[in-house]
Amino acid sequence: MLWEIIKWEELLTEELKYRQDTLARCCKNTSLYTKEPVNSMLAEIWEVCEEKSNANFNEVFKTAVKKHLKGSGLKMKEIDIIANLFSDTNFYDKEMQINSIRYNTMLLKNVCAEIQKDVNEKARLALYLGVMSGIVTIILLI
Amino acid sequence: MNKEILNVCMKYLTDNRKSQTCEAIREIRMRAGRSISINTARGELFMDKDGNLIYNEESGYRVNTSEIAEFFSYLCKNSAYAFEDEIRKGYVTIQGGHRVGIGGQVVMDYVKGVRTIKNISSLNIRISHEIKGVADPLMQYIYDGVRVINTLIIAPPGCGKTTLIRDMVRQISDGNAYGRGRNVCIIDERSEIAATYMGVASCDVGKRTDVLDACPKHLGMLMAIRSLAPDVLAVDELGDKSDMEAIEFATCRGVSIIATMHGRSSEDYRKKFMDNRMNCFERFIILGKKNGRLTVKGVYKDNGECITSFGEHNDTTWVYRDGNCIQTGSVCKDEDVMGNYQMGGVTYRGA
Repeated sequence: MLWEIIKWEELLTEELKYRQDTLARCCKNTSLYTKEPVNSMLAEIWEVCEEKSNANFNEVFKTAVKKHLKGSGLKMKEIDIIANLFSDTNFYDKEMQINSIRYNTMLLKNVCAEIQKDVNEKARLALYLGVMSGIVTIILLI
Repeated sequence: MNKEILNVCMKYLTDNRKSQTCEAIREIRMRAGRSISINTARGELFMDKDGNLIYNEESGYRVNTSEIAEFFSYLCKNSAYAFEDEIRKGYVTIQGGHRVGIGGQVVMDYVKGVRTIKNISSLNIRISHEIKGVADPLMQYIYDGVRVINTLIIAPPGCGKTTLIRDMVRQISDGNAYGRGRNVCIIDERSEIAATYMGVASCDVGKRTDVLDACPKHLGMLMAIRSLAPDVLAVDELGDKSDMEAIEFATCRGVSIIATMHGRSSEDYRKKFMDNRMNCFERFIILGKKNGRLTVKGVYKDNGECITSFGEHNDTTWVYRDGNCIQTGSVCKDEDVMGNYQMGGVTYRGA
């Protein structure tokens, strides 16, 4: 799931660079290239922003992220990083807006790296335990 | 920002374009530390903390810089970067064709010029109006047989140049009593004439009209001539000599031009653009404002000859209700000008 979000953020960066559309519009355009539940989350963000002229994009985004990613297996810490993607933005400059998204992507990649490291350690531990238990079993049989 | 005020302001901007509320409001001005000012046909009003319009400035709700920044962020749909180029020019055009002028601290870049505007301290939101029929009394002067004459509309800011050119374009495009429908191309650098949003024009600009939105005028005119083959080109607010070069290019290729510029007389046009250049325009329509109403001062030929003049007491005045022009001609009863209208929960009668 995290890799799906990272992929979307990279798509969003390219979309901003290329079209310079509003964030809601960029969410809609990039939703086509994502899988569930990211797809429906982005579609909902676009619909809400279109419906309510005075909708605050940051609030709409946070609500949608928490709603759609809650049961996706992500931890609250990870969901918070994603939800805060646009919290301190609204830059008047495209480059700064892109940099802020890239910073968020970097945070998510760090989380992925930590998870990967954790998984590797657990795998190694499981391997050691397997080998040890095998040796113990052989000794007992002898 | 105070939710009531935000909702009322957004309602003014997003309300049905033809509602009396929108018709009555011309400008919303926000200045840091000052009351929110609403300019209407009946004068200047202020907004209190509940979003009601009042006369007394002292009782008005005073906005601070962070509230102005927040409101600006709402106007930009939290995507100010999408308006980066416009912010550099000091304004943004939002959904509905309303132009938001920005006051604040300019950040310079010695290569690009103005980089951005920070610490926004004032906003001036000019409400876009679409008034069908507003060009009726002038259409006869912009035709020479079947040809549309190159026409320049000159007026000071806030006199309705854009409203007038929009209706002229609609009538030329759809066809009218003086000529059949023509292919028109609008070079809408500031997205004000057609009020294009997401590629679709919010205003009725006619069935034979193409729009080049957010395109610099001098580039747009060349692009349009080469690719869209228009009979008539419409451009708003001629600014510099590159625009005039493009107009010369267009007129040499047989395309008619309808344009507007800021000024008070055709003399302003000559001073600004006519150093050793050919005069591209054959008609000058001079607009003004009288008692808060849009008036025509006169229509002139390129040699300065006055075709029709509207004297001090016989100005052509447009009377409109519900977004449609209901009467043109001499000054009428005051209450006909705006009719009854409601703003911020208060009903006002007449203008």
